[in-house]
Amino acid sequence: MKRLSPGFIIGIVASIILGFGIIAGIALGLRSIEGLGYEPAVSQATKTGPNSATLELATYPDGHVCHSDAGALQVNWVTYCSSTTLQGTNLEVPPNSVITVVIKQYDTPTTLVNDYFRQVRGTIGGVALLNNKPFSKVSLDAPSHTFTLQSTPNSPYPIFVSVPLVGVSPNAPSNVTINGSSYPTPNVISFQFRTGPAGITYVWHCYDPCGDTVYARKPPFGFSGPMSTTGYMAGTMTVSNY
Amino acid sequence: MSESNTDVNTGSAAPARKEPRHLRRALIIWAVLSVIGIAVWLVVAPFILPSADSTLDSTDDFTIVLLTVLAMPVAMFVFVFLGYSLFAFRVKDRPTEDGVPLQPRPSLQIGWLGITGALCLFLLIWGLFASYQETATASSNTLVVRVSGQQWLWSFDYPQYGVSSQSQVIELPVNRPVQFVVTSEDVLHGFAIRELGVRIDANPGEVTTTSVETPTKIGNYAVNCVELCGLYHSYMWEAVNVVDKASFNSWILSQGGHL
Amino acid sequence: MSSTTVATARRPNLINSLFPSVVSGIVLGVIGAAIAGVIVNAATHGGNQDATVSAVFTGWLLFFFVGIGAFNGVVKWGFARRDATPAEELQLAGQGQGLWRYFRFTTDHKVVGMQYLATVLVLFFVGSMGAFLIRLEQSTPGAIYFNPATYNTIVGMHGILMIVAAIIMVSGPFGNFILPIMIGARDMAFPRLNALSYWLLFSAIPIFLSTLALGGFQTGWTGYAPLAVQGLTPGMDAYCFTIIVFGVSITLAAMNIVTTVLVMRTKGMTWGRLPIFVWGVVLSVILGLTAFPTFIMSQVMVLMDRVFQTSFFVASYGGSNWLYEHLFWFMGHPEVYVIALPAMAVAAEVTAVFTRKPLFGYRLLIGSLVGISVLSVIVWGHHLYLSGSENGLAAPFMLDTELISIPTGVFFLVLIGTLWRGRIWVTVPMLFVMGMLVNFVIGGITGIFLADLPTNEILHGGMFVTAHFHFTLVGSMVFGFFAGFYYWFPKMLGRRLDTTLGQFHFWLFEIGFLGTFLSLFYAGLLGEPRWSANIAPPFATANLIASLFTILIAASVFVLVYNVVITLVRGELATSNEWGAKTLEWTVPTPVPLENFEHLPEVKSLPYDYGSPVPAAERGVPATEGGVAGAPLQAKPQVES
Repeated sequence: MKRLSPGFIIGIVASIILGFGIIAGIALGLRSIEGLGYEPAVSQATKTGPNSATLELATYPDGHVCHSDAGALQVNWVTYCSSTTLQGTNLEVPPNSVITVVIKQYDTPTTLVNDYFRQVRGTIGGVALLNNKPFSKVSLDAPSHTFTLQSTPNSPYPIFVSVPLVGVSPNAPSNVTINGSSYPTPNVISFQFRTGPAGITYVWHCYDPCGDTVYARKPPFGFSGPMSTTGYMAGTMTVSNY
Repeated sequence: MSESNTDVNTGSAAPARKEPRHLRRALIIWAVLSVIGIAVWLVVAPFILPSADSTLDSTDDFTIVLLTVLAMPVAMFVFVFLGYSLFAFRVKDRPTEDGVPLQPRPSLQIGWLGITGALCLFLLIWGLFASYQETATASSNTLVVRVSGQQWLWSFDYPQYGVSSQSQVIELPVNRPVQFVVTSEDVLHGFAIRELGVRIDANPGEVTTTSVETPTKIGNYAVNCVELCGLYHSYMWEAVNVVDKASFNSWILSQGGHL
Repeated sequence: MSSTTVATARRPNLINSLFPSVVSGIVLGVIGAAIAGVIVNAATHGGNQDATVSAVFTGWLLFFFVGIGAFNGVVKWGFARRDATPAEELQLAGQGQGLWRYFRFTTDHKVVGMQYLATVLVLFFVGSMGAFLIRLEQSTPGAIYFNPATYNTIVGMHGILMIVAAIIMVSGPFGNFILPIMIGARDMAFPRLNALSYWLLFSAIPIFLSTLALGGFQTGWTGYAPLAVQGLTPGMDAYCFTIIVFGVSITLAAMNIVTTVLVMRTKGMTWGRLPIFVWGVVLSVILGLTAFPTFIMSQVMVLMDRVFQTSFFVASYGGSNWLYEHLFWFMGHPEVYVIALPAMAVAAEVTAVFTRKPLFGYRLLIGSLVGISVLSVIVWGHHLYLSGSENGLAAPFMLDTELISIPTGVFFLVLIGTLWRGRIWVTVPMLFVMGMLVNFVIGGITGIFLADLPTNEILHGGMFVTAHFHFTLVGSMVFGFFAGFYYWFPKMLGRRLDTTLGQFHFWLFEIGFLGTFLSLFYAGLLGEPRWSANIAPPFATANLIASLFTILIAASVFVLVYNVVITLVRGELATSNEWGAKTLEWTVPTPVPLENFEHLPEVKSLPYDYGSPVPAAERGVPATEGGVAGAPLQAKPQVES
């Protein structure tokens, strides 16, 4: 251990600090690359009382409404949007509340591959409302998407909610215009579920595979493209106080 | 290590009497540490390994314990001889003399190959025997659970009862053989329940079947996915409940099946 | 000879240096990539992103090699019908070009070796950044720092960068720089192919890094088929191309090394007098030649599935994912021995020197290395015990896999025997060898756990596997690389790396490494699956401890970088036989002259005859010019010139 001169030690310490700085820089850089699984914007449920909140979402057959600046392929992907402009598939909801989810569904139907998802599961009352009429089960080729919320492993408060979102008829006229794109009149589906304590994260995504535009639905392509990308047909839900 | 058919280094200053004690000393340290290591492992193992709650997992966990017991002397051999050499034969700076030019006698070489070969053969026979035990054929009582994996969720069917699990749970009756028949809807998944010793890949377009095994304890476990399958691979978990027969039957009925 | 050589001699500066060189290669490559991409995009009307991306990569490759001058000699040979003159050969070997020769298509094996060394170090650095990010994410439950898709891409990038770096880490730098000198040759058998193999590796790196801009890839480094074909984003194509180009690169390099050792050994160097390092590298590249074609083909097939919608691996159209798994692991298992054999040989080489003893069973060790090579080709099924594809074959594969432990055990016998009663000089290379021995025991034993069917059944696809292969690939083989790195650095770069910093590097690395991966063994025993962006709560403590120990590993990396930088800037100059070793590379001066030897040496014995009684007449011949104080009295170099 001969040459432990002060300059030496400063050099070692400086290299280590610089090195960790590089790691931090790379981490931040990776997080900011869009399209690499970036973090979509957060959309909070609107509180309607001390123990209730409402979440408004919409599903579109293309990305023009809330992904208008995406790449050439992604702009044509089906997507969930939270309002007319935000991508917002990272949902935030208050704890110990009844959450009412209202989804405006503009897309046409595709056949489910797993009839487990025909059934409404995990909602309060076991039903959901389709244009204000309750339903608990649909036929295999009725849904266009599903909203399926599942827990992370060993979650202290497991939640499993799955609601099939009935599709709009392909022949319906396009008489609604949003942000310059035309869509048919949407089906409005709403349901409710309860959240537990704060600090828990859940994931959700759609289980009705429609694939990307190239191969559509034959497995394994059904879950490619938007189905596997957060910001489109997949997201998270965090329970927190706000 | 024996010195054979080479002259001892003329430059060495170590008296001849001292040399053999190195080998004996190292061997004694090796024996002692191996015994201590095995003892420590046998004491610690139950705390490290999760509980073995099926016939399959008991065999598997026991194999881990046995293999570690056998491995202890092997590992200690390397550690002890390495450490001993460092303490006994180290020089401070650039050496001014050479070491003793030892070469292994043919008997040492053959002996070493023989011992490692025997160890290897034992491991092989044990492994074959243990896995043969696990390929017990299904009895008429075997519960068959059909599992279908997709991105990123497992679905379960009990064809013998006409039930598709309505929640994200597998219920199993204790002390009854069960066999999982697994497939995938899209990409490769891995179906695994650690404490029950169940693990098999879920392949699209193919059906794979686990060995028959019997859960032996009532408890709650988890299924997880062990082949990378995309975005939410690490979220692909479900619950497994091993319950008594009466609870299992009432669960079947509650899911809309028939007994 | 012709007017062109006279003309270029009159303008020796910037233009000549820039064209051809890596600069012109990159410029032309980018232009070619853009042209190809635009054409294919127009032809497919923007509908097939994978085709466009593949065209971009192909354009880049072709034009990069045009720009770097790889085809110049071929064109002259073919169209102008003339062979290169000796002056042109020397020019191509970098004579008179100073540092710029490292940035051109230079055929001198020493230049190629240095290029490989720099690239390996950069790949390790970038790969380890990925490792630190992985451990950051895994330090707490939940996918907090990165989206799971980003995390999967980071895991895949870390994996493939490290695997690529590990495959070439010993055979690339030392196999190129040191090996020809060690066998008494002036260069490799195919100098132009040598340069080509390096630049193929280099050209694959931008292709690989472009995955970040293309959406990443979700499959991890194994690129398993249905997921790889699934589409998502074109980032997967970057991975496939990288493997294909890299596979070609190492095939060329392997052929080169094998031919060089077969035909260019100097007079008197029989197979029984070949340094163990050369044996290790030769066996490893022969193994690589056997194994890597299936890897290349598997990626070609994935690309075809993606670009042309074939269905090799798509079950719903008649393909099978088992096909991919077998193709991949047929490569995947020999590949780890391609990584292992040179590193083990380096450790043996270094141990003999720093114990001043002959190898304890040189021929026995060769036999065991051959045994490992042969056996490793027939064990790949142990990765597939639980895949469902080969239930009947599980037993034979288990037999072969258990058998490999026998020759591996011999390696330990030889090294321990070499250490026993030697004069152990604990230099930094020796520290790494000892760390390797400790880690390899743990890694090898846990491999047995995984090889046995009953235990594989509870450990497959979990962190136990991850910890096992890190103990072997990193704890043993990368340590072997560092042993070689510190050992040959004085010869290759002419300076002494600081010993204290080297010791810091070693101890931080070893302690951090043991802490990290022993914790992960524990997590694996508990049942934690691999590739977990979201750590489940039962495994949180083990992962947190592992991540904390990783801080030490990170510190060790930066200490190494600091060491290399200050040594290059103002390190002490090294002597030409820094360690008192007896292999041929230490008999040439440092820096090594362009043609290595003035007169090709003749060899009379193994370079490990330490401690042999030597006739008085030959005693005391200094191993280095000018003699070095404290050189062993009986040091007798291998050479009789």
